[in-house]
Amino acid sequence: MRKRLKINNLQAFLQELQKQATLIAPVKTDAGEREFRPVEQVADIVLEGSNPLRSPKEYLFPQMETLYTFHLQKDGKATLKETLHNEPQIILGIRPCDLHAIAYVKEFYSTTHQDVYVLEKWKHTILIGWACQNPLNTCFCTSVGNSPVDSKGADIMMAKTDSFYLVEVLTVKGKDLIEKIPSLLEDSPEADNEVLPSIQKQTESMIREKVDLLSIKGRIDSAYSSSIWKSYSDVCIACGACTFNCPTCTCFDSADLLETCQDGCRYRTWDTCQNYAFTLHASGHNPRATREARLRQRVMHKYQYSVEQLGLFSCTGCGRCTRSCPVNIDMVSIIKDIKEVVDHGEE
Amino acid sequence: MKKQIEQNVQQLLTQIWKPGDLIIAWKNASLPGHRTPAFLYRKEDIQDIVFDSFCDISLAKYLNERNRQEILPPHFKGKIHIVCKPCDAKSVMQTFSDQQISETLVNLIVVACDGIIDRKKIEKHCDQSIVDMQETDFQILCTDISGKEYVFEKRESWLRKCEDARNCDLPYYYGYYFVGDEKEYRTRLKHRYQTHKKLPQDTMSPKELQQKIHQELSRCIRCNACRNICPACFCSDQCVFDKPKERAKLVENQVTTENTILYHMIRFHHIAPNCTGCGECERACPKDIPLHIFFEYFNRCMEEEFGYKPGKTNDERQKLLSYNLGEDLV
Amino acid sequence: MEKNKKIPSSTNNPYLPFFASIREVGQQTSTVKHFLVDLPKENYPEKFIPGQFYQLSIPGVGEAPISVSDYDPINHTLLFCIAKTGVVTSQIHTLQKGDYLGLRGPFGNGFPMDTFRGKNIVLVAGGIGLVPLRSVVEDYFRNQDQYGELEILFGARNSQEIIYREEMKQWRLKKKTTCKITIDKPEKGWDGNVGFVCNLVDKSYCDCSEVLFHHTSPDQTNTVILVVGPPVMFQSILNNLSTIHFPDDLVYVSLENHMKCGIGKCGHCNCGGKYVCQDGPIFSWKELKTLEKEY
Ligand SMILES: Cc1cc2nc3c(=O)[nH]c(=O)nc-3n(C[C@H](O)[C@H](O)[C@H](O)COP(=O)(O)OP(=O)(O)OC[C@H]3O[C@@H](n4cnc5c(N)ncnc54)[C@H](O)[C@@H]3O)c2cc1C
Ligand code: SF4
Ligand code: SF4
Ligand code: SF4
Ligand code: SF4
Ligand code: FES
Repeated sequence: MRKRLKINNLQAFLQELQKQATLIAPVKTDAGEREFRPVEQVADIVLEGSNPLRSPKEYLFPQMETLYTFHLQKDGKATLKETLHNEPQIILGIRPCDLHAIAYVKEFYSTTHQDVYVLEKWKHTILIGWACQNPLNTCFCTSVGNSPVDSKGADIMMAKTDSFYLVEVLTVKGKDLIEKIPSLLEDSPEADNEVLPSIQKQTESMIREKVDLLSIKGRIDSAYSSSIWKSYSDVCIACGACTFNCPTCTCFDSADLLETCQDGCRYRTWDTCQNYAFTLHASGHNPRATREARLRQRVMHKYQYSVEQLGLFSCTGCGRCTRSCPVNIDMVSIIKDIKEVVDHGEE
Repeated sequence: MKKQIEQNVQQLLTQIWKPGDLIIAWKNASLPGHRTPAFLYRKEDIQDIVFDSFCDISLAKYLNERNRQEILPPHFKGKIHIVCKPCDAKSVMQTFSDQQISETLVNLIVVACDGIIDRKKIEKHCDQSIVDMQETDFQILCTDISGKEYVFEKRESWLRKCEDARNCDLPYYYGYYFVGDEKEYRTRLKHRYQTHKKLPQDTMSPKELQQKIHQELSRCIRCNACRNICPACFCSDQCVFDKPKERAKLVENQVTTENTILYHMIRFHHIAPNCTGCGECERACPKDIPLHIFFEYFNRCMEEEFGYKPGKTNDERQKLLSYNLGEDLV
Repeated sequence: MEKNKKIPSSTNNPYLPFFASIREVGQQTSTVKHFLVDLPKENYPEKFIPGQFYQLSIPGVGEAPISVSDYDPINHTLLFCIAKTGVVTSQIHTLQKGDYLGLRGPFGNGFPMDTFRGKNIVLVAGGIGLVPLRSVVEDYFRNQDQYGELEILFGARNSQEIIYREEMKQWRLKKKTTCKITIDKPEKGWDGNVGFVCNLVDKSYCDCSEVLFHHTSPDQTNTVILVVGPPVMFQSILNNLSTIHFPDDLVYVSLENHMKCGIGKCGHCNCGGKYVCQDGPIFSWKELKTLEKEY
């Protein structure tokens, strides 16, 4: 189902959305950056502009989350209370790269043992995509086979043209939502077929470079023992900023917290494979003791291991790792080197 | 003029470099205005070295023991030639006095610097992402992704630490090479130096200050970039925040504002005697938290209380961490 | 969708532990204790495979992955044997009979016991590595008629650190079973083998190939070797085995990566395309060769 939304109906449309559930969208914060936040006033929403540094992943997989609370009884046994959250929420203004990321995160947490915390949230979330017209100089979504208008993973996809917004309803969840909203939307003529492709063409022309990774998908492990890793890991300071901002990083640490002598909780927080202690064994042995191994782990996980596990790249080309790296390690140059090594071997 | 300096650096290195030595300097990275650390082992690589107003990363960090372990090839016997801005040179001094590396292993090359550009500041002023960034003597010229062009005055685009030139003086140490005219540099510096540019701490009441700290730090995502980039932090993998085995874990990993503030408070105090004010923490922070103004404050306190500025010389004892036998302990 | 619905609770949340009471605690060595716990009825494992592990927890302290030494399918008890190495394990060591232990599991793939039927089994253990192998031993004795012979090669750092002393005495008495112990350095009053357990494998490989030659056709297809111990130890054993061209699909190793969740989500145990907690911790040597060397 495809509709049009008049430019001056946008505010009303957003207000309707806000009535349905918690609305999360990019808003301008006090610090002057755009961030996905629960919206208080729809007027604060800024849909255009570059993709926020923090991805909307945190509304499905928050940086910190309580798994359960416990109350210790006298005999040492504890009563547990699961803390699942399933408040309905609508996330608006998600770029295609982040749609992919959410789809990946959801897929990752549904295999074998299901992670109910993420899945419950996902079930109660409606994802509204936004065709991207403001790529950053760090973006490379086309290299990993995504496109700036790809709607995969979205319930509803929106795109801005000069005279209207295109609203494409893609799933049952999306349809249910739209049907609840009184008739702000108009029918969309046949000619609107051209909207997304033309945005795609325009945006892709602005993306700096395309490294064709699809052609070597599944063979990237042949770069495992290459010397390229060392050339980047020398520079890397193993901070983990790249993983903390990456929309597809799923690793976490968990720990217990006692609030009183009897009550406490077990929580989890994001963790990063770039940290030395991440793989440290109790015996003191560390399988990834060097930065070289850890940087390789991050990159290999994105382009090889997740392909082995789920058939998907777990990098969406959003460029956040490059944006957040304090020593300017650029993911595009890494993948260029990888491709060179996989295609032509080491010089 | 900048190009001249770059050439001079390269020339000097060609002269003093010997086979088996390592050069730590900057080279171009693929994005506009990005420079990245370069580790060079071959003479022919010297021509890749860059020095201009975009060389923001401090290379001093790479000298400490843990980093050398990662970087140096096994059985490395050569010297390390490190190219530094005057502010970074002080971090190198501090690295010496913290006994992270012996001076005899290092050739310090200090380059006359005219202030470094805060790339993020410029990026904020452009409507779209930047695809080209060049410098002239006094200006920065940018082009964004849609082809729009911008001109910025360098003077207005400096990093916070370069604004008041408080950290641009040269260390008291005779073992360095200086690239540029040292006398001229010192005079130029006098013009740039502004005594006591006001920090928020100077004008705020404790209550307001607390609020300000709270507000700024609540944005922190605890990514550890500020800690890891810090040249004065050398505990590395043994850091209290990294749950090393059998050591007190001071801060829960839980990312709450309280824990985050505790994390930073510990850092402010722990680093105060080593902090040379290089501003790397602030530059590294992906959330643009103005950490430098907090460290700067401690830095000033150190100077006022003890007349001590970390990194001034290569063998100063750390004021808060060392004492003489028999000395009165407070 | 309505706002503020009640928070639901799910029935199969793999992060929630259940609690089991400790029936018996025993000191094995100065740093190792064993714990026998009674499983509550609703938490009987559907199927238990030797080599699997549970996540043991104490609320407020934390969790640690611990292999099962034995699951008794009649009394529904689990036996754990735990070395005091850090925060959680130290706290577990303070527990007494009647106390409760949080459990999640069983996790991991376990040893493919079905494929061992009719074969001789050689167990090589270093230190605490004997723990997961004991569940194999118990399974072997329960179904001894289905397997060939059993050989246990155990290396401890010194004579004080030998675990399961009593049990090993018992095992020695059983038919078709041999049990050899070695300690790293010579010691007063010790007249047994001395040296690393890897050396024992060398020597005793001849023994086990003797076993093999005596009882079956002279090929290497009828013996499986299970190795559990620190990475240095199993590496050198694998090296020894490769010099005699032992088939790599008949050797199994248990990995001991850092683990947090136990269910392939937290990423700590990630090794190449595998999650050791879920796809392992047991890998055949053949699989191990395809894995990145990050264990
Ligand atoms: C599959 C498996 C089976 C194991 N079986 C046994 C056993 O039967 N008996 C035994 O004594 N020990 C066993 N271990 C090792 C045991 O899990 C660690 O000694 C224990 O986690 C240390 O926890 P701690 O909190 O006491 O130590 P700390 O050093 O305080 O560790 C802190 C945290 O780090 C993690 N961690 C550190 N080292 C390891 C490690 N090697 N493996 C997993 N997580 C680690 C844990 O999550 C732990 O909570 C096993 C490990 C694995 C992976
Ligand atoms: S292993 Fe590293 S790259 Fe992969 S999800 Fe975890 S933190 Fe991210
Ligand atoms: S690895 Fe980098 S580019 Fe890829 S999804 Fe993560 S942050 Fe984005
Ligand atoms: S952000 Fe950069 S320096 Fe930090 S861990 Fe990632 S690649 Fe390394
Ligand atoms: S770099 Fe910034 S976001 Fe990261 S831990 Fe430091 S203050 Fe927090
Ligand atoms: S222990 Fe969490 S993924 Fe294996």
